[in-house]
Amino acid sequence: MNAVTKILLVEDNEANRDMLGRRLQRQGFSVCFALDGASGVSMAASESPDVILMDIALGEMDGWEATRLIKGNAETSRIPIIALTAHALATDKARSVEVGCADYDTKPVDFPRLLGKIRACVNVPG
Amino acid sequence: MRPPPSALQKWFYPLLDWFIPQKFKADAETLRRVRMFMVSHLCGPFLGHTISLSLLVLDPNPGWYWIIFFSAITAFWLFPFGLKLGAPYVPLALLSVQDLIFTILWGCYHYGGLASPIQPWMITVPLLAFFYLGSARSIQLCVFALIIVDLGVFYVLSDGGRQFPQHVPYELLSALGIVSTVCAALYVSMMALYYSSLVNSQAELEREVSRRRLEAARALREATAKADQASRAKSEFLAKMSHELRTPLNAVIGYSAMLLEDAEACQREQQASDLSKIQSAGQYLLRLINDLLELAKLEAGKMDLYVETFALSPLINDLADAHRERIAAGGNTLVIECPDDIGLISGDAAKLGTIVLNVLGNAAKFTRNGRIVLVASRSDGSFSISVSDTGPGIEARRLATLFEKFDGDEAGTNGYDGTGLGLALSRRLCRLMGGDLTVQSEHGSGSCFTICLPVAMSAERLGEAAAPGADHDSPDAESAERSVLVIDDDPNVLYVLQGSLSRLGYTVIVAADGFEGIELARETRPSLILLDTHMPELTGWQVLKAIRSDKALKRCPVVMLTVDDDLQRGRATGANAYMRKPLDPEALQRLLAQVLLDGGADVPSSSRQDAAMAA
Repeated sequence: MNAVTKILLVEDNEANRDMLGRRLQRQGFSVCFALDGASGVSMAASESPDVILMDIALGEMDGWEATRLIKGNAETSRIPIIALTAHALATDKARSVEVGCADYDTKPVDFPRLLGKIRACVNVPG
Repeated sequence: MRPPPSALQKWFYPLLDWFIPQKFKADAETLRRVRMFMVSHLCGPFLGHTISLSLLVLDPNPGWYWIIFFSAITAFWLFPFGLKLGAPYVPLALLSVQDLIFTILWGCYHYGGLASPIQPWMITVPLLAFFYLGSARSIQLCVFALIIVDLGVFYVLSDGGRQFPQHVPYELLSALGIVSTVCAALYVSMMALYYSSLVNSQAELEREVSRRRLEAARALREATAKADQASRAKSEFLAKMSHELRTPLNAVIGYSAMLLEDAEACQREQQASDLSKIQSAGQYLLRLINDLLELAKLEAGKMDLYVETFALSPLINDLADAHRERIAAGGNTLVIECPDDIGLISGDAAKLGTIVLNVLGNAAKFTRNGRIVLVASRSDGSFSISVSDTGPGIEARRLATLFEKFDGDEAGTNGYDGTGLGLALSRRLCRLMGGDLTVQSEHGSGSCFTICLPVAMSAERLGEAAAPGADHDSPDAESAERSVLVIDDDPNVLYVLQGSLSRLGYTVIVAADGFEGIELARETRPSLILLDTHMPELTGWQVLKAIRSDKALKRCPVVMLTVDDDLQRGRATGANAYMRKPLDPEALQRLLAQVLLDGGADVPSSSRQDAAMAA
């Protein structure tokens, strides 16, 4: 039984990573960071976080692909993933559900709303 | 490519035109006739005088008859001057024809009688009359009347063609015959050639005109294509820039929010107030970028619509909640009139939300200590949401431009309240979804904005904007042929399947539990049922049993959706296939096509493999 909720933040933009990470830490979450899609996939397995925040617009391996790989791995498939997309597009919403994300949100993040989504994921594991 | 102008074109034609008064130049047909007249009268007398001078050789001491003959030919040279001086054309031309007939008959009478070498010229009379005057019936009659009268006079004078003076012996005249025939032939040829050149140049002119017209049309097409391309490039640029602008904005909003939290925690009020200004400026900028991006997408024709089925009433309540605080802050009361049984809507919920929020936000922005009333209603194929307020209203002169981009008063007059794009964007979204956004307002007594949209967006209504959507309004045989009923208690699954099956062209009906599922199956008689096994109260297996025992539904193919491997149980209960969750859209598509192809029959192993692969 984890006392502290652990969040894996997959984000390649340094400012966003720092800012969102610190705000989450202030809320009492334990946060670990992955700088690209590939390390996100491996850290999902090694760190076994409670929730993954996945930036979609990553470099070489995009967030969709990373999500597919995480969902395809039996070890990590049950970790809820919240996709963070820059565009509030209907197609992104549909796609995030299709690849198995628990939820999605747009960037820049509306922090209270994102907190609500994280808590919903942790309380009711997908 | 045109040949260089010939001497004729350079000198002769301008000379012709010098004689022709302006009034004849307006109409191409008239100008052609007058030009024929001019050529004939300038060149013809030279050929005529070849004969008169030849006669002088044969008869060196001619009498008065030769002088009249010579004068009659010379008289033709006077006609162009008559034309130049403004004599009416038709009488002038008829007079010329009369002169010609007279000259010929006079020549015949005095030089050879019925066998005169001048006789062949008679054939030029009707020909010239046609060239000068056209083929109008009345003109023809005039010309023939002239010929007959003149021949009659000739007949009488010659005593019935028996009495002709003999100024020159017949033997000598026969030599003149050749000269006269050649001159007549030359004359006719000249007229014919000139006529054809005129007709040709006219045809060329017409070709030139049509070529220019084609060129102009092509230039217009190219310009339009270029403008379209430029507009698309602009929209793409805007979309890209918007993305680039958001990233730093992310940091501005995020860090200022953190600092604001700190300042508030330490009660540094001045700092907190400064930071909240950065916050609201950042938020405004973000809204502006978002709206611009949406508009750019709309204008580039790239707006995607995500059609899903949702209940209207809860959505409206959620949207109202989002603005409730702000509405209350202005001293306003918000009244929602939305019947709970208003039902399901098939459309883009997110876009509808944007529109309603915009309209509600506008009402909140302009109304102080008043009432804002939101009324939702539904009629046959459409629903409407109207938001009325007791605000200041809109002046009549502004109503016309209210929905244009950056309409003056909406933009930023009230701090960072509106972007000035909200109403323009909302109306365009409404229209994209097959409806409209309209306004009624009286200055001084409030405004009422009305959103009207179809309850079911179909592919036709969306145009190219989105995939084929579900149309629950037409359960006719054809669309029912490819209808799929999805029974699942997980709203996420319903949502995903609704989208992906609609895109594949199926009409999708969704049921959130087993009871509703059985009822909808009986009512809509779908061509296929996707059935979740794990549902509270009535499980998928119980639903399947009910379906199989219903006479009408007995042969309806059913695909079970499961999280575990229940193949044996599924087949025993009468399922046609099963798929494991999470669903792979491609495998689902293959399986559905296969199952529908087989009808209610058993499913071959290949599609079961597909189903298994979907795991």
